[in-house]
Amino acid sequence: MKLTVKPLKQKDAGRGLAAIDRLAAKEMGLSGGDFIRIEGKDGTAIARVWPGYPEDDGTGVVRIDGRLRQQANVGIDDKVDVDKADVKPADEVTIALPQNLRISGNIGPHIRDKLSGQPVTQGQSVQIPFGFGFIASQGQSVPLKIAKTSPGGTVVINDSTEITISEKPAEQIRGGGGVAGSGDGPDVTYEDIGGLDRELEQVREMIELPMRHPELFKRLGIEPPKGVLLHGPPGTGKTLIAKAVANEIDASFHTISGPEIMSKYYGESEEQLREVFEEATENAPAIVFMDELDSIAAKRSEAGGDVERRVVAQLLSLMDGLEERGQVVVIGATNRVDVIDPALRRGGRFDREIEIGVPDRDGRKEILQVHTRNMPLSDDIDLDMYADNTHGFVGADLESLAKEGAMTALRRIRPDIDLEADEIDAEVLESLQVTEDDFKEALKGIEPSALREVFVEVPDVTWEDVGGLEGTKERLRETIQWPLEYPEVFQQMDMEAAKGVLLYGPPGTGKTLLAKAVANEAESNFISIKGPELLNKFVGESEKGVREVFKKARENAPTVVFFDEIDSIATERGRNSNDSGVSERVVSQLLTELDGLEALEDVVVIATTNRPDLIDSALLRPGRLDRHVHVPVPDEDGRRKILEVHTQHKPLADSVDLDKLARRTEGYVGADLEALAREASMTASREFIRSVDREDVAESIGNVRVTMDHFEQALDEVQPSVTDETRQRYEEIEERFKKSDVTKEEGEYGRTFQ
Amino acid sequence: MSQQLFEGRDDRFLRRYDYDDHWVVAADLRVSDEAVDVDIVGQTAIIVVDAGDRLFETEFELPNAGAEVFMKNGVITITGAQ
Repeated sequence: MKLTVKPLKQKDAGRGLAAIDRLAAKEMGLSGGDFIRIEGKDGTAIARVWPGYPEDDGTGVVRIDGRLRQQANVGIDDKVDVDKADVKPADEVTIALPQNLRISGNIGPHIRDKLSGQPVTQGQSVQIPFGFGFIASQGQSVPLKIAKTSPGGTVVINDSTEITISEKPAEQIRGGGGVAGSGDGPDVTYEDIGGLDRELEQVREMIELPMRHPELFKRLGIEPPKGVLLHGPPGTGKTLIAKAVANEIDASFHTISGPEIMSKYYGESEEQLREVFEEATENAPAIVFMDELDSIAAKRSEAGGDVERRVVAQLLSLMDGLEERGQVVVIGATNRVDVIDPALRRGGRFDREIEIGVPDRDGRKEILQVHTRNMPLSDDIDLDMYADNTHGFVGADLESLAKEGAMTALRRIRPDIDLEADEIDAEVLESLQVTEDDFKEALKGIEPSALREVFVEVPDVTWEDVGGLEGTKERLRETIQWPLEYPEVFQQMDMEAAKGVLLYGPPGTGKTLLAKAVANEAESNFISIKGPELLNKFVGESEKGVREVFKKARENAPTVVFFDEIDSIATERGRNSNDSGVSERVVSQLLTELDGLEALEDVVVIATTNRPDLIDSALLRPGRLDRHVHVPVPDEDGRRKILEVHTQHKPLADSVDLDKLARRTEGYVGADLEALAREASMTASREFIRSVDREDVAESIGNVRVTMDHFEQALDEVQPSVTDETRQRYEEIEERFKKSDVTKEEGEYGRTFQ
Repeated sequence: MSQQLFEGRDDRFLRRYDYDDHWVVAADLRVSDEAVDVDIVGQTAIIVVDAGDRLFETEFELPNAGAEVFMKNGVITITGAQ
């Protein structure tokens, strides 16, 4: 029966399974686990039947992974003949190990276990996850070759099959039929790419469709698009897509790797370019892949010397000059798309530009699945959780996470391995497993590359560590977490999530602490700008800094951008023109970034300040930092909670009465209370250390208690830092914010337009 | 129409597919058919694998009772009506 080939989902790949849609399977009388023969134009593969995906019902589709596709020599969307296969049980199979593999002990039974139930044929390469698959190349498992089978043809290994290891290494065995693995070219299939389904579709449509069915385009009377530019942050999979496409398509693949073609002689660089394109045209249909395009195709107005300009010019004429290019598709990959000469980026040359961005949560999960496919993971590893926690991680980061986890597991086992011996004991290999702890260790050491310049260590502060301030916490949660958790609600009510929150209040009340808690609890990336760190001595650089921050925030959405002490960069415009007007321009840049022509999607800004009166009123209007939250001096209840938080881990005596302390500390802010607790502990420690000898310290430290007396002493030392007038002023400001217009009264702070 | 993975165990082990009129739970084990024993008790399926020197057992909930089990070449298919 003829069926169409489609790719298998990433997690099901690598096991020789073919998911056939239910109705077709019923027609052919197939049930789960049956052996089928998949025949392409010139190649056959044997697979086991797997239940079809529900979305494929009735579509006449058979889903097989890259390896089977290679064996059958078919591509996606090809038609193949699918039939039940008659596979005999094997009596004896001889297996050849690769040359560089050293294993001691009898591995025959292990191989039989792993291959049991799989159909094999002479000359076929099989992959075995030996429990150390990550050491082998490209994260695949160990490739073994079937040297001989008895009886001949396709057989299936079962418990009674005898496995012998051949003398010759695997490389020397020639294949019979259906040999997997290509000669030259990388061994990457579409299933090895996670989280890029849409982009992959676009690339495949541009490349595979014209090559397979040129008649479609002839009928439509158009030339198919022949150039695609992949751009995005480093490590996201641009080169990987090109590798997969090269592998899956029957076209000849040529690469130009950036500065490879540069030469010291005049004209030779251009000649090398011409040669590559000529070779490609001769071997049409061909794909030319130009990696790191920005190194040879920079803007001509900005390029360094004549050579670069001529190379770009040559590239322009090769891609769309007087001569026709023929069936040559050009793929370019770059990190910096703005640097590419604009003449290259128009239709006819690089018709399509596909952005390969930072993966979202589902993308990260798929990528992790791909990289841990052949890893022996222990049961407690939950990839979902790791996909949640790895904000800002790109594909390369996740790959190194998986690798580091495996290396940690290896380090654990190393004492058991005798490195001096030639071969590693098979038992030890079998017991090698990657556990949850290994992954946690690995995660600590990896920094997300997309957020490298602005990455901040997420602090370990939760909502419980913030005493009191219930209303504020709720507000913050609504603004930041709800849009991410309940997008349907926002959509239904046609609400836009709030763009920004301004936390203001006397110093020491917990504004920055709240921001720390938000950073921890929010399921988003966190970028923090501490005060005037954006300011730069060069003209225009400070504004650029603001732009860069928001650009990074957009790229890694959802993000929380935290401006600490924003009054240092966002003062009222027109107030004083003593400095060079930098702050005015920075304010203007902030205004346009927050609510200008380009939308700021999925980015929330939190700003803290002690002087909200100084902030430019345009920043505080709805649409920008519209939520103004007053973080007040705590009342008695709040003080009690704060004291609780600060004395949580301290050894308190029973005589300590937190309620009484809360009553007595009228006018104290959070920072004051923290100082109080610290002073009390210090007093207690002072007493203890003075009374006890050095040697006895470690033993009797458990007996130390902080008593009410210590707190009394501390109360004398620590005075409230916020005076009543200050408190009054902030309350007035809050009143003013509550009114609809945010105009400041004249006179009080001496503000006049100049 | 949904597809679910079962947690707890290695997530490459089991898949569940929901069609209009019935559901299918499939697992791919790399052992011969004789070494596997599948039992359906009410709404629970119990799979026992005898891998020579190790005995490995797992059980999981099925959507409803009255399921049928097929086992071939290492692929266990459990089907039942919705």
